[in-house]
Amino acid sequence: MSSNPANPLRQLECAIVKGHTKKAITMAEKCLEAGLSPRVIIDQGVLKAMEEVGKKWKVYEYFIPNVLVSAMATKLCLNILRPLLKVPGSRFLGKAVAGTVEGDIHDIGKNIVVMFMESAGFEVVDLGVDVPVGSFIKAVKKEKANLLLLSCLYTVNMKAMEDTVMALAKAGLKGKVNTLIGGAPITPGFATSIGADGYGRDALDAVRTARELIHARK
Amino acid sequence: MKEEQIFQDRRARINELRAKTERMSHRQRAMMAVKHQEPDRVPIDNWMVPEIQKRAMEYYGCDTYEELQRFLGVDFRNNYGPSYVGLSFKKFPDGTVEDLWGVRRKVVTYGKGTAHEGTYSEVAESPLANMKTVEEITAYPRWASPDWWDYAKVKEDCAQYHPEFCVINVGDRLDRTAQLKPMMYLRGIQQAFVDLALSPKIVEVIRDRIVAYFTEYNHRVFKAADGEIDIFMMGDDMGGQTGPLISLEMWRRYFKKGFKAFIDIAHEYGIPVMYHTCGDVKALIPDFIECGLDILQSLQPRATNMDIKQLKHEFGKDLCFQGGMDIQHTLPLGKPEDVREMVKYAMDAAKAGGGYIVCTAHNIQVDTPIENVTALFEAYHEFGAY
Repeated sequence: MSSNPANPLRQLECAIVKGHTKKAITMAEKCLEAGLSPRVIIDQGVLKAMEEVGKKWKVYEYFIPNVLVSAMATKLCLNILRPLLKVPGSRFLGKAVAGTVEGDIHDIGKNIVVMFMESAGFEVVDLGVDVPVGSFIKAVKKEKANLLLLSCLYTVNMKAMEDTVMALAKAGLKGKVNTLIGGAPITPGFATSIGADGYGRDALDAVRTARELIHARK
Repeated sequence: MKEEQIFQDRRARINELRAKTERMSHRQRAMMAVKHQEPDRVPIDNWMVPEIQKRAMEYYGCDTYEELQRFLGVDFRNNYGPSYVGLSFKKFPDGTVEDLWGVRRKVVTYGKGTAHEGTYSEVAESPLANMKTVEEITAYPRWASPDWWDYAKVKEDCAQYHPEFCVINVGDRLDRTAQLKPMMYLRGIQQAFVDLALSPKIVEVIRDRIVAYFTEYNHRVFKAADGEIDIFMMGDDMGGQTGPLISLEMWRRYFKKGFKAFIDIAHEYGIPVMYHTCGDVKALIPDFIECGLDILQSLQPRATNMDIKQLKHEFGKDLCFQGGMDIQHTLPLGKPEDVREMVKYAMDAAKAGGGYIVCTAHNIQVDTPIENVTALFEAYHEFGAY
């Protein structure tokens, strides 16, 4: 990807892709000074950069360290740009509660999903790891979330995923909140069998599925 | 060993298959395979969580785990290293306890409230997580020391299994010889990855401390063992489900030198080296071979690029394989016939010419039905014969 010095938007995109956090912030500010709207900077600079990062990850050009630093740069830029959006409702595509299910403390995969979701325009409340069923339900209600993202690594904790999806239904939130699950042992078949609404094979797939679920609700 | 009819019946199939096949000691069989020669059958290693060990012992009527291992025909015995005599591990009011590196750990219960409940000791707090400079990290007062171990019993501990079994020096799961893993424990997983991208000096100072520790520690272990260790195992996860966690370039830059140094130490003492890593590491395998690795362990079959048939075809001349049995789906969720099919596939793909030790890609987990455990070991003996 070439960076045109005359075009701060391209330079912003390039800085995020390369994981240059300071440069990314500088270029986001330069874009604003150049009179570009925050919406345009987000959509055509920041989000485009993370799409590029995702593509590089998929073809083994990028690995976890690269993805993490690009996501960090993205987050810092979005922290500057999002508050400037004129219509508050347009700030986010949807709101998600995320976490690794009870009994499981593995979080690198979940963290990467959260970062990609945030950079794709979702607001995400991350509950962390080893999250009890009740905490998920409480947070979904409190945050008025429309997505619940569940992760696990151990096969033995897949049952906790099922319990969480069941508890959501029991709380009368099925249909109002879409559940999206992922993690190394998870398959689309398992997602269907426990009544989850979607499955993400990886972070990019999770974002794509989340977009589809939100779109289907509109 | 319980002699009631029900247990004898359950043990009959494996006993019958073993009687038909086995013509040498466990150690001879294992070492032939490591030397890429065909023994009487493919050697068997066994990784089980304690809950499965207990369930298998109850099922087969074994009074001890050693009895179970003997009955199943497991060819290897693990040595967990010297005795710890260092600083006592500090306990905190929140229930966390320091480990060798000063990392606070907590007991996490998985499968809570189910028949599969069990525990793992997980990282609760990484002591270097908030440090920003090389100086701060260098001044960390809890760097592990090889002096914290008493090596006097290593020889005796290993020799108790000789000459019958093949002894693997595995170390403890939480302080097994590695580089990235202790770095992750000390710094936190995410921060360790960020460091790899942004802070080479921090990576290097932590890595150098870790490598220096394990270099001296392993020298002392091997010296103390005085020829009684048959295989040295190290383990450092470099693979994820769909590819390496870091690039080949990054691995070469930060970890290749230490990886080779660990192998060289073992080779100085004439000990072949087995390396455990989960996940897809195919891109790194040519470098592993170049560094002199003898045995690659895990071969997680549901990870991309880790199909045993392909790996044997591409690298089987240079590398011995250990593992290949799926614990992510087939063992916990499949049927006994799926397990049988999985074993047959791996044996057909990898046993020719030796160089294959059959084992699960990680511990058989607590949610695995006993029918699948029995199917696994019966199939090992049925399809492993040469």
